[in-house]
Amino acid sequence: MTTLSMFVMSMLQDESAYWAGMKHRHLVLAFVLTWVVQLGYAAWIWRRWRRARR
Amino acid sequence: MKKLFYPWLALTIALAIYGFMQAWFIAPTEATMGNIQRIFYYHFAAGNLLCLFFFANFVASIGYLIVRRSNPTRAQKFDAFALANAEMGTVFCATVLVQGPLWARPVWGIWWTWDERLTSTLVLFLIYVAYLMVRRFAVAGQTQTLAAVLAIFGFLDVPIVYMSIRWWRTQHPAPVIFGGPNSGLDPRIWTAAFWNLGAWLAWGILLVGVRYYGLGREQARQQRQAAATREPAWEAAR
Repeated sequence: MTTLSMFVMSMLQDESAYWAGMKHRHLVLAFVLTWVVQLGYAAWIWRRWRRARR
Repeated sequence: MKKLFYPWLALTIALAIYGFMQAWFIAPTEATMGNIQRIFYYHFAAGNLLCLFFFANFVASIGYLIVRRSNPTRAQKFDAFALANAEMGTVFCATVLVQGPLWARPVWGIWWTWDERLTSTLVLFLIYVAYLMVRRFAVAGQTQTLAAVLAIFGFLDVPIVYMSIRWWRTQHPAPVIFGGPNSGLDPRIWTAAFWNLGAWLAWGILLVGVRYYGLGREQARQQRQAAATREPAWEAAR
């Protein structure tokens, strides 16, 4: 989570040296965060499903 | 369920890859906003699908309330279906609320504004988070009935979200679907939008199916435990 939050913050800060040259960081970030949320939920379901099988 | 899972997963992955290709490489670059407009393909899909999954939750909640005394077994199925759809709708709503500000910042110059569309969407998200909190933390006994009633009232916000850009002048753009004579999109943008809508719909159905199946198993386990301890068995799987 710490790594992820640092990644998000670095992408949001316009003055960030690494991401400043990247024109479409908002587009990339929207794509990444969409999949993070969706796959996070999928992983939670998977864990619940495995627990229910026992 | 098991027979369907892998073919449906394969279909979903194929659609997601093709939708990604459409959104990032095939659809034309929008003249005014440039490449940032490509968020639209995810935003459009998530915005429509959250309405669909909340509608399914609404219908299942009504079904639960109708049959909860006459047919408890079917009521449990309605309840599990309602919960699975509420979770999926809330996840799509969360992604909409993430994508929106990321699109707004470069286009509007602001992350957020309290206009009717944005505010009603945030309220919708909070209503369904409250629904999930009720499911998780309410004292046993009336949880399912309380949740079903909350879902029915909560769904009233969905038409407000949908109509907000028609009823009020908002910062959010006017509708591009059924928006009147001057609305509409380039056919190539429509193609990419619908491929992504199909991909996310397949994804949503997959997760709702797995969750519904898992909830059925949890309910069965709870009933076995309740029968063993001679307790009433009609409490919700959480």
